[in-house]
Amino acid sequence: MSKTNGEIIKLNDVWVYYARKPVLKKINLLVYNKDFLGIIGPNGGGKTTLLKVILGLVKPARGRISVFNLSPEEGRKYIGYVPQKPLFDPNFPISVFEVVMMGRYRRRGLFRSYTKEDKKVVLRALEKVGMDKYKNEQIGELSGGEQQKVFIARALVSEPKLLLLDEPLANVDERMRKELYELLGELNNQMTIILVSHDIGAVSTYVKKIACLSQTLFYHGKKEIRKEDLERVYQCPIDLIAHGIPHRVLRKHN
Amino acid sequence: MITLFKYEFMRNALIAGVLVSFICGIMGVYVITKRIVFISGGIAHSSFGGIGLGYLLGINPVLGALFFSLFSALSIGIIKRKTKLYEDTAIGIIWAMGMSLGIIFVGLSRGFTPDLFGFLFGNILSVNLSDIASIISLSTGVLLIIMLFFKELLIISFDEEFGEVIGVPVDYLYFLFLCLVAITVIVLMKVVGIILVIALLTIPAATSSLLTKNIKKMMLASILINILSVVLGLPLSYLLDAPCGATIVLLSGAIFLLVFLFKSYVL
Repeated sequence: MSKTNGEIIKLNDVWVYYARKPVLKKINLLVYNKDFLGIIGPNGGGKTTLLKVILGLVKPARGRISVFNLSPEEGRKYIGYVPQKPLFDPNFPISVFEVVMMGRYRRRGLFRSYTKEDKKVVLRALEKVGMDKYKNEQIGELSGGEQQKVFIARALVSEPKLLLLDEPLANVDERMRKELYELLGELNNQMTIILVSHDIGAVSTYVKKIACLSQTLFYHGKKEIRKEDLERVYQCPIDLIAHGIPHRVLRKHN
Repeated sequence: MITLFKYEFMRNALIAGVLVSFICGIMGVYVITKRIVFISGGIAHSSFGGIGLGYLLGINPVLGALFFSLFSALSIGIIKRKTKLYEDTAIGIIWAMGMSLGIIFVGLSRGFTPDLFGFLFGNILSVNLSDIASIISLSTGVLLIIMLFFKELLIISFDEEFGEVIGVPVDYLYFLFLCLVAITVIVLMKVVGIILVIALLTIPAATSSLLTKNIKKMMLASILINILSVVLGLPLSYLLDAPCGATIVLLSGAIFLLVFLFKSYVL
């Protein structure tokens, strides 16, 4: 990883289509080291796709992407990923500890077992997210918010420089939401964070910059979102969606 | 019951039944947790094409079946990964094509087709020492590969996408795994036949999934349930004068039902 002026993600004119319909149009995005970027937008606006483009799981039809100055496939080794709805069946026979251990896979690779150090790292991560007491529980026994914490721990044990979270606050109650944000705020001291959510209310004081995404990305590298952008993104009267949003998020209308 | 096992064919049947329980129990747990029950069914049925080809060309039908099952495993994998066809559509096509080819080949061979019924419905009583040797070698191979890739298989069974992000060679392992299923089908074929292979892969693992949420304990439980079905099923089929394979499968289903009812209404 070479010197990059602190730019860790660069997307240049990125387009993605699913079955000929554009999902992402002309996306330009720069993310700097230690940013905490919140991307909001309606469901189907391409938020998950954008994260998958950064991870190299979705190939764009056009455009250039660099992740830590590498291709997404190469750069993903520095990324900790917390998927939206982890694809698993609640009865899957696996414990919380084993789930988090998966995050250590890259350190070992084929034909090598997890080590004592891996176990320590896993335990430490579980303590950090406050889930160590559930380490032997089967993952499906946990609540949505608890599972989310376990998946954050799984992302953390790979010791990432960038954390990508897809709707981490869906199905999470108010108290858990606060806890999760405090945790993310603390993690942001060590790593860059990108969080996507369809819920404008999900954006908290910990988030440093905000972007809006609905196929097109509206981003000014700031914490404010312009009212016009929000209206365009959500395509509905701003009063309706502005309800309950902390005022600091929306820029004053002239 | 003891006297029954003084016959050599009964002893061989018992040995074979116990031996296949290992591969069956372990692969079965993957088959149900990875949700590939019908992929496995497709692979099993399409191997009938190979049986037919074996008769037609005068080679060992088991070899033909192995070739067909590996081929259909890879085809299903490719269709699932590289095309936009639905998985169950792909399974349906391959399942039916394999069976049809088998029927045509058997028809074309015109000659004597011994054991045809055995391949379809199983004939554990005809197991001989060389069958036992091939069960041992194939099972050992499959189980060694499982041990070697245990942590990878756990990751991709649980969350394939995360596996890709964290650097697991997801595609290769998926194909490798389908090939293991194909080999397992061939190992089990002798015991219960092509048509019932899917039962032996699914039922004991499903029963064990009711008993524990730990994958290794599940595999162990599944092996033991398999062994139990074989050890009880063989004499039972003798007493009832019923076909062995089907009796073993029904017994295994009865154990599932008992455990299910016990868990639902007693616990």
